[in-house]
Amino acid sequence: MRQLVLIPCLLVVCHFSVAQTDGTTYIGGTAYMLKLNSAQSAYMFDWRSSQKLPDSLRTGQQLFFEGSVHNSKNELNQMAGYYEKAAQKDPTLQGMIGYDFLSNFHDPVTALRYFEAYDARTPNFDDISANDPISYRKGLAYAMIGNHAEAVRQFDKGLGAIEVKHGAEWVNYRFFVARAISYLALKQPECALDDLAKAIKNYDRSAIARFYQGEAYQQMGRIAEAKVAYDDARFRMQYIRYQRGDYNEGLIYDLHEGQIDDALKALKP
Amino acid sequence: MRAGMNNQKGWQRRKVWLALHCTLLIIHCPLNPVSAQSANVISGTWIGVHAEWENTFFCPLPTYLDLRADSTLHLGMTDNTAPAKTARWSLQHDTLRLDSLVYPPKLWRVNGDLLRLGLLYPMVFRRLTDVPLDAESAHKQLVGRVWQTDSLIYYFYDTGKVCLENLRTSEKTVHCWQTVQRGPSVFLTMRGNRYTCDGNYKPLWQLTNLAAGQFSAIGWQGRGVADVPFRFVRALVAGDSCRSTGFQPCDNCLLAMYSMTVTNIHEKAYQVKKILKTQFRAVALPEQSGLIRVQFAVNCRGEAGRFVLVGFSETYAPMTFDPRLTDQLTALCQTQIVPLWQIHDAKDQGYDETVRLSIRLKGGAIVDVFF
Repeated sequence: MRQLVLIPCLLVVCHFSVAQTDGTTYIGGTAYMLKLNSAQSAYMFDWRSSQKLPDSLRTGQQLFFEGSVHNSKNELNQMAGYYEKAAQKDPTLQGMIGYDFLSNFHDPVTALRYFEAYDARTPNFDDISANDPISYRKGLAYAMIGNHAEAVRQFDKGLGAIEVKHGAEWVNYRFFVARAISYLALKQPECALDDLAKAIKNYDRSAIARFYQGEAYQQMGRIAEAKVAYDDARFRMQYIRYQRGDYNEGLIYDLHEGQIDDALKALKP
Repeated sequence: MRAGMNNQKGWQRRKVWLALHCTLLIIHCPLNPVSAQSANVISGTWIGVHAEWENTFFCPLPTYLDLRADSTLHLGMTDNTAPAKTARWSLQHDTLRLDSLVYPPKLWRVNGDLLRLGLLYPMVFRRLTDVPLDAESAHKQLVGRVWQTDSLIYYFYDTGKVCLENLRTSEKTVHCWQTVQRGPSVFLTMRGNRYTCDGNYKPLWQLTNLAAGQFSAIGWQGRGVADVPFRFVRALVAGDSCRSTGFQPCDNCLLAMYSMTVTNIHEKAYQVKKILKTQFRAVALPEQSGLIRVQFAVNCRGEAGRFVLVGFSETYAPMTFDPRLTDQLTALCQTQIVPLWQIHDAKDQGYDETVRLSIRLKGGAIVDVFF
């Protein structure tokens, strides 16, 4: 939801950017803002209008968005308060709120509290939050805490069910990469390689899967293969950047060329 | 006799109709008040004032809306820098239509000479009342002189530059200015930055009176739309130079929340993490745990400013961290991290950006750096 609301915001920014040089762009920008303010859009993105209402009358999503606006203003106390109110008003948002704490604040403890509450709503069922099984998100949180054994257990639960029921080709490659990273932390490079092979099969362009392949080979002492994997990761990264203008695989784990350079330097000859 | 009865029946019928009519009138009135927002109220030329991006943050609108009696709508630039777009408008049952866009009564309001549209990013326009003046004469009167309002001092240079000095903060910013003829009216426009005149606009002013020691203009003066007097201060003298003090964004409407760049995918992010993890000296202070956010803006030419450092406890309550930690972080950020964003070839990258990094501390040591 937050992304949905931010889209028009970003577009407005584009319309009124510094670089514009002619009036036509301003006219287009005004026309766009007129559209955002019309009935066609105003009720879809109604966060501003809901600000006049007492919190008790606002929807969970409106409260959540109010919280994320406080985040952007560095008012984190208010943000946490609004997130809590949003979760109470609409418990289905707990998965999203937890993920916000995990991805934007690197706070796995608070994230897990929301994930557990979200998961507890339907016992014996791995709830889905924004296309992710909640167990996958719990796995990411445990991995961030450093409890990789529990992370692997959660990943097994999330992606294992999909793999058994539908086949490995139906599993999001990011799930395999996340589990592989935890396997590497547990010094189980063979398991990691197995997952990374499945990840690459599902998304051949992945640079991050190649990078962690390199790390797995490195752990196994297969230096030549590690070097090939790291070089391949760099090539894939540059290729994605060339195609899209930036490199981003949408994972909670970042990958940078500097990281690849450092990994290559650390390889023993 | 029969005639008398008929009259009586007729009178009774009339009483029933009257009662019914009054009842309907009573029911009808609160639901559909006779609206003052008739076509006459809204037709005319509306000069853009601003759009409210935040409750207290406004961006000037350099456009106008001309709602003509023949139902044609013209959306154009107040300073005539582009041909206007034409469409149709209508007002039916208090619902305003601008081309295909619909504004039910709660999405638009005319209050005196102000038109307010929308709730998400409310746009404010003011009704244009022409004041016949000549742009060239106005330019002659303003140029080479210093003028002052209650909040700003304006230095109008003959090079086309204008320097605005905030009376409260003494901050100076540099822009370009001109006087523009729009029909019989004259507008004072200021836009751009110290590098270019092509940037976006400062609030537009419609000149209403030109006299020797004072001119006045209608525009947004920070609290509302008003006819503001500009008092003559002095003539510019040789040696008066127009320079901004400190950091000036290229964008005249820069708000951090709309200019935050996605930094974690950028290569600089890894360099920042390395700098902080290798050069920050931990201070063993068990109670110093939580989150520190560092934020700064970089303008289109790579100049940095608006540096902010704020701390939060592990439960996100505001927290002041030990200066031995924050002083170190401030120094590392200002001397090593901010320069990563500064452009050395002085090319215009076309936009300003706000960078924010988060540093998680545990017992006085950095445990995580992220964007």
